[in-house]
Amino acid sequence: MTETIPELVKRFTEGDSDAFAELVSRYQKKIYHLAYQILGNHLDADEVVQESFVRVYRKRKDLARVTNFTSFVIRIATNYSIDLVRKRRGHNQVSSDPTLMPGDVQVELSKNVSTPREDFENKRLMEEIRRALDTLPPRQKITALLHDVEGYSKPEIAEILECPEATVRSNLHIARTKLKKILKKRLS
Amino acid sequence: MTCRTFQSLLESFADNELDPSQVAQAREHLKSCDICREEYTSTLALKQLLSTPTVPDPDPGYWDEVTDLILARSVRSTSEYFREPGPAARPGLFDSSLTRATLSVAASLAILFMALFLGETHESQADRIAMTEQAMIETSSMVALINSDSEETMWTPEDQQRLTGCLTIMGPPGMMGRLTDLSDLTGVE
Ligand SMILES: [Zn+2]
Repeated sequence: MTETIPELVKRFTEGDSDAFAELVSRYQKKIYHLAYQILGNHLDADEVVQESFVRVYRKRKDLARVTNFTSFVIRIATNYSIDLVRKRRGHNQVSSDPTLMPGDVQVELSKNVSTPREDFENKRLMEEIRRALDTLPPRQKITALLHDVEGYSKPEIAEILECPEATVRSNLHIARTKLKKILKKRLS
Repeated sequence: MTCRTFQSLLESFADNELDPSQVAQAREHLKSCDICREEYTSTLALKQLLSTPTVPDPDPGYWDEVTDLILARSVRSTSEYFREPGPAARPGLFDSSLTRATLSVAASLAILFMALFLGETHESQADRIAMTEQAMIETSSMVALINSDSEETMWTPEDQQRLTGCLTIMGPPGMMGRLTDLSDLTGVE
């Protein structure tokens, strides 16, 4: 039987390093995916994955008080990603540079056999979505990503971002309004 | 339903958060209002567009590699703090930073009491101050020692008890008030 997250967290806080390794393997893809969406490149996403878990490990004594491990770990990853976004800003933001899109990695969209033209179209669409998201301030962008891309509910996002649900709603509304304007051609 | 009401419910509608009666009213409004329908359609289209996968898969070996790196940076680099069952798992008396800290406090207390005692009997005030200063230096080195690895240290209840006892005899807050706050020493960042 697969162990539940609370069971793993309990074992981890009791000092079981295998439980920690299992938590890493259960959450690393989720965190990588989110961080990649926020930062737009593999290197930064990788840094977020590593640093988030090292921080979870350091904060293990706090875990007894944590009611929702998912929100806890996603919050750490989100906060670190926001820090990186701010750090990268002014350093010629990596995510908005299309030449740095990894050309050799398999794009999920084009997993089915696709023509080079479709492949090109997919990449162009991905880049367009990313650029649109990059125009938003970090909190709005992350709210939109968590909700519309990663599928978290509004109460979950409120917990992750440590803000009232009303703030989540208004950030999401503003983000969507801006994105609808920017991506207008793609929406008709 | 008015356009205003519909607009206020639009996102909840698009996110499937309305109750059935509100859904029925919203649908009814859409039948007769082109502007709201267009707005609603574009919200749904945006949600659809954003759900387009835009994250390329990393190399197949990446997940195992990154798990290894994380374990190396956390568990393996601080494995002595993961107390496993068995007598060998506990660090020796003088290996423990807590023991060192406790001894350090004890030493500084001894010096402090000596300073006060001697001061009362026959030493000059200057000597007393010098010795008190020495005690403060000793004490601050203990603080530095504790702070330097408090983040990585998993105090056991006995450790905490020893530390509390040790700090209690240091008396009221003041010059060393900071030391009496146990949470300072055991809390995390
Ligand atoms: Zn209307």
